[in-house]
Amino acid sequence: MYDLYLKLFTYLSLPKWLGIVSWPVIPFIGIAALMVLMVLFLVLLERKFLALLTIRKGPNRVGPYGLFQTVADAIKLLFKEDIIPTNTEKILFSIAPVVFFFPVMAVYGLIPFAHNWVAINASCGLILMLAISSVSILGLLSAGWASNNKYSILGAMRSVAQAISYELPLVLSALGIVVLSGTMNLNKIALGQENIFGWYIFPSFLGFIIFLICTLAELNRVPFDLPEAESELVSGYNTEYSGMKFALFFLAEYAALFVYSALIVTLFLGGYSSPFGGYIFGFLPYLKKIIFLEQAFWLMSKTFGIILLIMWTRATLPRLRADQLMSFSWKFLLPLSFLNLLFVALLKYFIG
Amino acid sequence: MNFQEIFSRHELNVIKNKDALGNNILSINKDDLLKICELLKNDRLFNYEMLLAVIGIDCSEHFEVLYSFYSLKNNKKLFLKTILPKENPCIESLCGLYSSADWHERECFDLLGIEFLNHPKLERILLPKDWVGHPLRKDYKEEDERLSWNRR
Amino acid sequence: MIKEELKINIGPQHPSTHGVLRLVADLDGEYIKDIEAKIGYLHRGMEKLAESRNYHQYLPMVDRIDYLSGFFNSASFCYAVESLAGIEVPKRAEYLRLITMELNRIASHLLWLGTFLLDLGATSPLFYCLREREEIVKILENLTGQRMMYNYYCFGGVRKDMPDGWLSSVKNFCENFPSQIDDYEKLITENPIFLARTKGVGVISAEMALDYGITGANLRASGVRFDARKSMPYSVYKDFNFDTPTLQEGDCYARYQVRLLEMRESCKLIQKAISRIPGGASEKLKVKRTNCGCNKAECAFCGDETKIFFKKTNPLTLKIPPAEVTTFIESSRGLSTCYVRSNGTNMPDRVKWRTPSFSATQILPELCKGSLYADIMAVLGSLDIVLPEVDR
Repeated sequence: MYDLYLKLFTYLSLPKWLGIVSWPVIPFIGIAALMVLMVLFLVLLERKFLALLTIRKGPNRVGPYGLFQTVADAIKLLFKEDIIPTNTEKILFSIAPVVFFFPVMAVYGLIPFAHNWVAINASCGLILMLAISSVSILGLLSAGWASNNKYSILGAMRSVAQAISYELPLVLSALGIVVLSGTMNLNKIALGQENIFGWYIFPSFLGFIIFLICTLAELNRVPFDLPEAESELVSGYNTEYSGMKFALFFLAEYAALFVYSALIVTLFLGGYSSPFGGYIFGFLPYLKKIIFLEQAFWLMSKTFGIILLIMWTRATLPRLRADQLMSFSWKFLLPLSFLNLLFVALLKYFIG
Repeated sequence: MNFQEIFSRHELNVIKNKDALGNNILSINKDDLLKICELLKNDRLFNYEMLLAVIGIDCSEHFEVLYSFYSLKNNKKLFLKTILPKENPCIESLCGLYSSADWHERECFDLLGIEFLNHPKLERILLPKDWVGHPLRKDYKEEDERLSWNRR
Repeated sequence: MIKEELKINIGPQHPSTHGVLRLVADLDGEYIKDIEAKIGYLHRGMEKLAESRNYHQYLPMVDRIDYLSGFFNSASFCYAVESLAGIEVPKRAEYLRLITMELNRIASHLLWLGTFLLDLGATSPLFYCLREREEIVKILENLTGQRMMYNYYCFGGVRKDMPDGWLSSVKNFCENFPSQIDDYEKLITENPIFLARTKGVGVISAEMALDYGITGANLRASGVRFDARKSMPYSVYKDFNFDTPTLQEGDCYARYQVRLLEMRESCKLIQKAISRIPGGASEKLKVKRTNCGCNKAECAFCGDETKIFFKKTNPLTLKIPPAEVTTFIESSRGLSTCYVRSNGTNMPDRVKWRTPSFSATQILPELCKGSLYADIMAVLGSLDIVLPEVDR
């Protein structure tokens, strides 16, 4: 691919050093484009799927089957007036959505979409991903504080407490995977699970469940969406935001949904490897060059399966109360995740 | 007729009537109200645990207050009627005996201007705090400027 | 560290409260130290309006006192005026009144269930409940022409007889309904999150309930078996044999279960009433009446029992001599009483409504003190408060 790219530059009679310098930038452009497309699609998917579960139709006026609904929403939010209330800390108020949004965008670069198709091939990719996505909690806290509004502060405090409490079981379940695979590099973790019997969900099933529950809590989704409970606190930490800043919060939530689902798939469900062991494209010699398409297809389909599961939970379950949320994490999930780690370590030691 | 004996034993004057459906209405003096209600609640014969409503009525020459009691044990209904003078209608509050009297009496005060003595917090409940006048009275004229749209 | 108190205003415009209710809460972190309920945002002066309208003009306004149980308010006022003026109601009209009141009870409970779960965070059961309620509302629209403010009862009976095929549509509905309640129970009743949110929350003891004048399903969930349909029977309820579900715990979960059981009982009651209505379905009655043609009072088809009113009353000449009366009706929220005093003219002297939601709103601050902020929603939802009834 690299040679093709350089040949393109000589064909267009541009200097060669430009090609060498701009080659690493392309994955990031691809990531950004992918992120925007994903968010556009996910917002619509959520509304349509929830409508299906509640015997309604979702949006179906804007474009065929409502496909351009999110574009219309984005344009509306862009044109809205950007209101900054008077008694707020103006700098903190304006930076908070950015601080919330950028870690999520940065983490997109760590997911392997196909073999060696990862923007940042870090040897400690897993821990880097979890650490960077925790930075967005700061944005949340500063959004609530800078709004100078009782409801926002309450919502932000609850949200931060929830996010921190559910980080621990999350990281411990991910540690179980590190024990099983021996590496923190996400590419290698995905490679290590070749067919369906090698998926890490089977040895560490408890870890999968715990990771899924903690993901729901990190994303502030039902049943853990007390911080943005519409019926109780208006809108929690983003009550005072309007226009593009609100759009950034909104986008970041759905972007994070995709990233966490992709992480679950990479860790537990085999990443980009197909369940059959070999690839369908691998049997045909002239399609071997574009095997990355099939690997990306497997990753995407599994990710969307997990995303639909998360949306299904949203339609079914009521909300947990704040103290029940906390006691659930500290008294129930944390001991269970320690148990899971112990179990996985013993499994690895005796069976290998 | 048993309660006639009990009331005369406690030296209380009651007159018994019936309403259109056959329920008992007792007319009493307003000074005997607390004693009678204590009897109604605590006496083993009566056992009226529930105070259902406090109804204020503006007859043109006087006010009437009607209390509606219900006994769950004996499945009996009872009404108490007192007559209050037009100029300064005030009567004892039943909040010490029945907690449900709280808001019912506030509503009577709000709409009719009847004062209940020893009420913990007698203020307007349905109308805004700065409303002038008591609307349910027969001689109520709408003098509030906020209602000027209604007179056109 | 300085602990500050937070004074929070919940409402009056709020996505969750069932109407315009304002709660001012003193919070200490997550715990509520003091809460005060301020009502009066929906005060329309229903009682004052009665003094300047005659009885027939006031009757359509009565439906709007509690728009979710329009038939019950209509029934209280109609029974009051009928007992004051000595008007008799034929049997078929009474059976129609019973069937419509029970259908209204089911519809009101369905809407309560949907909004209660919406407050707790579960968004899908609302749509399923509204789907069932839509069927009931369509049935009632076929009968009365209106989906919500029915204006169907008149002094002396009901306004018109049921249309053709109406009775079989009600029968179909009643046959399908219990399986729908089973569906809701499967989704909600054993759900651990729902149990954690509602068990042990907002406990009303029996003494507290009687002291505050709480009636209806709230009282029955605290262990007191009181149902005005049995203790003070009106209409034709004394001819029927039905259960009053009673539970002992008095928390939000018990109130939820009592109302679900009540829905089932109402369904059975409607089925029994359909099988015993004098005259039967209207299409068959019309045929039999034309064939019989005898016009005798005892005849099963043309007689007194199958009429829907004996005599229409005239608004200008319905003058009632001075008297007073109170009627007690078991509406879907509790015991609803109507006090009417007449003064010899064709306008009432005083009409007073004692509504069950008034007492329930009075007890709400007592239940919420000392508990968590998120419990307010669970308690408010489970008490089934409808604000127009509170403010009149």
